[in-house]
Amino acid sequence: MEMYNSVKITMVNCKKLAFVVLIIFCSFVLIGGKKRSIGIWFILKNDNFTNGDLYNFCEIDDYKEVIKCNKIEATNKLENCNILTLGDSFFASSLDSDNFANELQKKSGHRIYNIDSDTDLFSSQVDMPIAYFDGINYRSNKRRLLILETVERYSLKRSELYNLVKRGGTTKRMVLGNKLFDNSDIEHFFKNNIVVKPVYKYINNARYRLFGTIDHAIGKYSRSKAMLFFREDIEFSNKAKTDKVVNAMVANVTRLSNTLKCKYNIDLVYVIIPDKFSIYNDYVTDNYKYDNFIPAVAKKLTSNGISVVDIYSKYMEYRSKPGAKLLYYGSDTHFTPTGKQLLIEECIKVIEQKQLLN
Amino acid sequence: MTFNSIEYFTFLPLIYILFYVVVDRYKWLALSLFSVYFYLTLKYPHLLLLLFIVTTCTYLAGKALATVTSCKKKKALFWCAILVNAGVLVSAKYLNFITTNVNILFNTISTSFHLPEINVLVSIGVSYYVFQAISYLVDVYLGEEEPERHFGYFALYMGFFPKLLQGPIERAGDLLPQLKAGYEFNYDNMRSGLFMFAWGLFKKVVVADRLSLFVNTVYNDVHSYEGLPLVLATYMYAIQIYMDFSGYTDMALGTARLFNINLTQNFNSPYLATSVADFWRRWHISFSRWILDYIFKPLQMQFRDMKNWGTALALLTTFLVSGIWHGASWGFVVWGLLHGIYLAASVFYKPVQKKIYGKPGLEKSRIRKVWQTVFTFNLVCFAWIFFRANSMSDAIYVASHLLSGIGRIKAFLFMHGSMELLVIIFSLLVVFLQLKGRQTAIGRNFYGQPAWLRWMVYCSLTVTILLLNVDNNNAFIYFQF
Repeated sequence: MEMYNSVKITMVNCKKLAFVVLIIFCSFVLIGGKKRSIGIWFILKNDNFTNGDLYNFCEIDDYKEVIKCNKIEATNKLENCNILTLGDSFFASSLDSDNFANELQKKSGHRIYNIDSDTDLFSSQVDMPIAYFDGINYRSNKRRLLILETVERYSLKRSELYNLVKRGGTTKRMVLGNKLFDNSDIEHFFKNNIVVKPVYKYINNARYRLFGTIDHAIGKYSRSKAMLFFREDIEFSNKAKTDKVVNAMVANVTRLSNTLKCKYNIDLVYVIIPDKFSIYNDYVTDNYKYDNFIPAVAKKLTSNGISVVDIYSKYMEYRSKPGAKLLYYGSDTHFTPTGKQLLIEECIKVIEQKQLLN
Repeated sequence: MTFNSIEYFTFLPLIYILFYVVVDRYKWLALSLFSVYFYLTLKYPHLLLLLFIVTTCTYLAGKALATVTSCKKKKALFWCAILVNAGVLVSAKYLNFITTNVNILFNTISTSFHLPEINVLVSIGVSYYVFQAISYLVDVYLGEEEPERHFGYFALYMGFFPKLLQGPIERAGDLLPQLKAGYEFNYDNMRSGLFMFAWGLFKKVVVADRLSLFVNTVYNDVHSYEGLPLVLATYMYAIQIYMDFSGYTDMALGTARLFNINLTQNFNSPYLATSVADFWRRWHISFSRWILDYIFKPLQMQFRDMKNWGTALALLTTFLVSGIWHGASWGFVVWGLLHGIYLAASVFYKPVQKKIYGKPGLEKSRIRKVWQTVFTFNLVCFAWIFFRANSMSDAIYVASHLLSGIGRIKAFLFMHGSMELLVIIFSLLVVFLQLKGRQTAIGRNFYGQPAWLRWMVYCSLTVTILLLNVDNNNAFIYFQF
């Protein structure tokens, strides 16, 4: 009886302890998820190396790649440069190489100024170049060149914002509202903090080995070639791009080009980087046929007199060569240094062909 | 914030501890504030405004109904309040549907007049609390319920977070006294609440979400399939929607129980129903009670001179309203009408049925029960086609190709690998055993069983959820209503 009682007391104490631990853990997740400056201390991270953004979603060991992350130092000032670059994470990416602007500067010999983009996806300079130039009160008679880049999956949405003159006013109230009611960081912090991440990773790998299930962010994966594909890529590839949609996009980019020229004496070079799925879809499906979105847009824009780099066609041409290296990382959405170099070569060709700087 | 999100798992223990430490007098405030926060995390501020309008209008009308003595004034006030509530529901949910269809009508009769297009408003939870508000007003108007004097308690009754988004639709007489009762920590309630929550989570993320992989593949591309795959996808959808909705309800009931509040049980093995009427006594019980009390009964009284025809007409109208309540699309309207037709037909069939089963002595036989269960299940599944299909043309295609042979059955079954199918069979077996187990001695007194047995069940459930959950960010199906 005595033993039974002591076991019972121990059980009750264990339950109380478990409850206290749960409360402490939930508070930890809430604080870490809400306050970035605190949360960052408890997230496993390496500044010099990365493992690929798609790997970071799913954490499946089979897809782990160690990719070196270079530190980027901005050296130029806008007024000293003839070429400006503005793009999303493809231009910012410094995986196993320098960022696009610095690499282009090395190869072309021109001084390049990279317009730093905000991290917020659809409220940054990438989406609203006019608003950016208005915002910095850009006044110059000097003829310049802007290489504007977008990844394929966001190109339609972004093109709708290109000609906005003002950024979608984020008022103080909206910022406060976001801080209070947007809890998306909590999920990220929960999955990536030093306590949960090892367990979470173990469970993810077990689930993958047993059932082949993988994180929702991954739309498709190839086991044989160890390649992950972003769900948003797949969804964009399935989206019907009717003539009406393409024409609207072309009209927006043309309008942007005209405004840049008339208002700021800036010539536009437009680049759409293909989604990884557009290039390597044969790794995961036999019956998919690319809808030729990028070449179609490029053709229409060129006929409107806009300089476009059709990197999709270049990538496909390169892929067909024997011994071709991978253009995209298996565990990341971004291009490899090979993919970046091909783009740089094409950009230099366009700059020279068009004699845009003469 | 949905019940199956990490966000919710993080907040729930914290709000529980906050509720626990706050003095009794202000516990309603803690729950109200969290309910508001819970609603705002959906990031549609207009939803809070709609809830505020409905709550304030209903509260004030309820109080006024109790003080006004003139019958005429009382009636006018009552109808005004009903109109405001219905107006909120219509403006949030149906304006776009109405204008689109009116414009189509104008087009067909070649009129140049067009109504301006109205954007669809997100209306998560609106249908539920508007129905709850109407039930409160009717009860107060008929003198069955005393109006609530305390605005805080009334607001909490309207917006209590576990039932805010998908019900159950609670009567004031059931919920308000529980919200007002003093709180005393109850270990049994906490234990059973947590277990119920975990069980609901299992039903949602392991069973319903896994079934959705198959159902979505077929229903998002119906023209690629015919025959048996369409039949199986429809059966799977029937189970998916049950697991999804009952899973949500279990999680809502489990959460509420942590705060010593018992919400209405919404399901009672609906697919074991032996008739469509029986199905509606077991499916979405709080809603079917609502439409029975507030739509069917008054209509039946109106049509009582027409005898059986009157009852049939009342049933048809009631279920038409039920279909429209579910959403602004023709699929829901047809789904509601089908149930109305089933029930209206049963009014005339019932006397004949007695004769049919009476003669061969099948009236109390097991075969008859099994046959009726299978038949009812198939009738219900046929109606689900219109509920699930992406468009009316898809629904008509599915309904007309159900019997076109076995189709590409192998490709359908193994489209997501054989493991997925095995997990579905295993999960359904677990659910079946739980349903059957409830009738056994162990099931009835589960918490009286030895600790090792209980902990074995808890651990198995946790491991199963962690390993077998489908990570596809699926929202609950009934969210859209």
